[in-house]
Amino acid sequence: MKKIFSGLLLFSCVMFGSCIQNEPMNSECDIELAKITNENKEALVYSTTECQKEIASSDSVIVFRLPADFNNDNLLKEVSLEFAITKGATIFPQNGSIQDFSERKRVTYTVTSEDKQWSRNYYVQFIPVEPIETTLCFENFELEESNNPKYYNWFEVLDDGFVNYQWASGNPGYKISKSSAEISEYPTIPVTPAEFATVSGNAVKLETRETGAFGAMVNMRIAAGNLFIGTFDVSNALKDAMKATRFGKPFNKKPVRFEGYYQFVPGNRFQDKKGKEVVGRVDEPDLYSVFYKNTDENGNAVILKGDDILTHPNIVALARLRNHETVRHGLGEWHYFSIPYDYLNDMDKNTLDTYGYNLTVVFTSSIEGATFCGAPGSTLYVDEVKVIWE
Amino acid sequence: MKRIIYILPLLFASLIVKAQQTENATDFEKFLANKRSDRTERYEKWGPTREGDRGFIVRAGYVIGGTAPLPIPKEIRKINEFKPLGGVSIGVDGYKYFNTRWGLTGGLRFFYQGMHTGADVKNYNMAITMGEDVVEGRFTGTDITDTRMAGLTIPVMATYRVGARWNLNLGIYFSSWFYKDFEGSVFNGYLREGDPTGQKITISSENPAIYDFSENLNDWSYGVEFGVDFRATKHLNVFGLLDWGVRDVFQDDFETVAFKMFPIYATIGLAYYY
Repeated sequence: MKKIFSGLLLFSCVMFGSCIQNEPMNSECDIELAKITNENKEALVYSTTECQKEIASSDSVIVFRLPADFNNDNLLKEVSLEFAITKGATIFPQNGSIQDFSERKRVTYTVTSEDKQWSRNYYVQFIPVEPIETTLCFENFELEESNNPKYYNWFEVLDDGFVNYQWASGNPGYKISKSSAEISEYPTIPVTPAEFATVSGNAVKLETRETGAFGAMVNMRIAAGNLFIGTFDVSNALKDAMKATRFGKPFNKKPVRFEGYYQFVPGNRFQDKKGKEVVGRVDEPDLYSVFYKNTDENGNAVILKGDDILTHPNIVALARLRNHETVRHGLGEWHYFSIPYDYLNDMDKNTLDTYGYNLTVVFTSSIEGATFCGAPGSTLYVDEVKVIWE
Repeated sequence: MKRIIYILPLLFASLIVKAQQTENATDFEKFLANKRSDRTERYEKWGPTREGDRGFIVRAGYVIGGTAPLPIPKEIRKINEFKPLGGVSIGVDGYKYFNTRWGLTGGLRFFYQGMHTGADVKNYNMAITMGEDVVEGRFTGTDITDTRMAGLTIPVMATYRVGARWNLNLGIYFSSWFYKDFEGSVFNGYLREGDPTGQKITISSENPAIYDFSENLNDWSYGVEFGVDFRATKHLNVFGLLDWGVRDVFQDDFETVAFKMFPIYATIGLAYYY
């Protein structure tokens, strides 16, 4: 009896199997990797790790950072770039073609999918590396570029006018899990003086939010408000959220103090990853800054992520508002903090000068938000933060 | 299933008997006349069990099949698994013969049927909906779908007796579903949000994304029914039938599944001739 049954199954499989059509051509048109192929490429980047860059699917701007003291613009007149693109896709201008990137020219590359139905533009530029902004006032923000913009991105305008998107938040991940949320319901939002008594100008509000049914489905029931210097890799947000937060940007000064203003009020019900209430537990925010070496002993790039940002051996210095005693609760009054960086490892002056260290500043409304534990409603306001350096 | 094994030797034996008859015939005319009278006799013997060329049949069977897109769209790259979700069909047919060979059958059947299938897909349009929250885009990776439906079917078929003991039925049917679900999950791949240029969201097998399109299914269907009956004994009948739906199982305004899917289910079972 079983034999006949499996025979019938086999028959139906063959019947269905034989109907499989030829594989359709690819519709994707991404640049996955970009690298400089000039012979003198080392002269065109501040660090050898910069010669080759992996490009996230959501990025369409590719910036190669020149050495800080770069002054021979002629070298940029003939640069050849090679891109790894989606299989079957085509790129224009062609891979390896000589392009002029002098005078900060932005060159547009267009990738067209194998099936010719889709295309994407990428904008490539060479800009000298420069320290990130360390006077952090949260004045500059804009809605994301999208057909259906929902969340804000923060940026800093550097002295030379370059707009540096040094800030990132988990907002793009929240957009996936709760598409119905309004702009004002996102975990990280700006507040203006009209809405809230800020210290000066605009401030930022971080609130731990529930992610709804979607979040529960993948055991990510809450989204803590967060804002940090680094990038957020949304492609990993559902797969491995800890890997989605990529902390830090190159920095060439020795940080000594981390200071600013905050207000915090915890949410009522602290819950664990499964959504179960942890009775008696009061939520805490987390405010810290980490300074770490951005290469390993073999010269490969190191980026600290959610799972090792406070524990990685590359950490040189750390400043953190630590515990219940130091973090004051209650809204209405700004609390000032000023914490020295605690140096755990030696710092090398040469490495520092060549941007061999990364600096990050991290704020979150739930201290265990990265593991999806916290109290919905926990709210942290932050304003006028500064990293003081020598 | 054992019943199928049982009818195969029967069929074989009847062929041997026929062959022997042909060999022994000396007078061709006589042979034909005999054969005709034999046939009439046999048709009468295996005809309706009651007076008036009419009667009814109670059928019970095992349903196997699937809800499938036809032709299989190019987005489906490989079928990894397919398993009918144990179905049953129970019903009553009424029949009426107009002459020795032709008749009409109509009935009412209750059915429960379903399938489980797993496939590798590429650039497959899909949406995950949870209340008012939706993630929509193109998925490349592994998809698993379970669908089940229960309801009532009314078939109307022409019946033709190809042999004394063999009937073929062909007609149309109408089904109404009072229970239906269509759900599944995607994993081992990634979703491009919105369209193939949208941001890539990796979906791992540890955290699959679940979808449920049950509410987007239609309530009814219709199609073509084809059946074969074999009279094993005077009252006992072995049958097989195929219901081939020609209406998309999804509502017209549902666009997430970009291709039409049709219920195609076969029933194998036993019937009792009253």
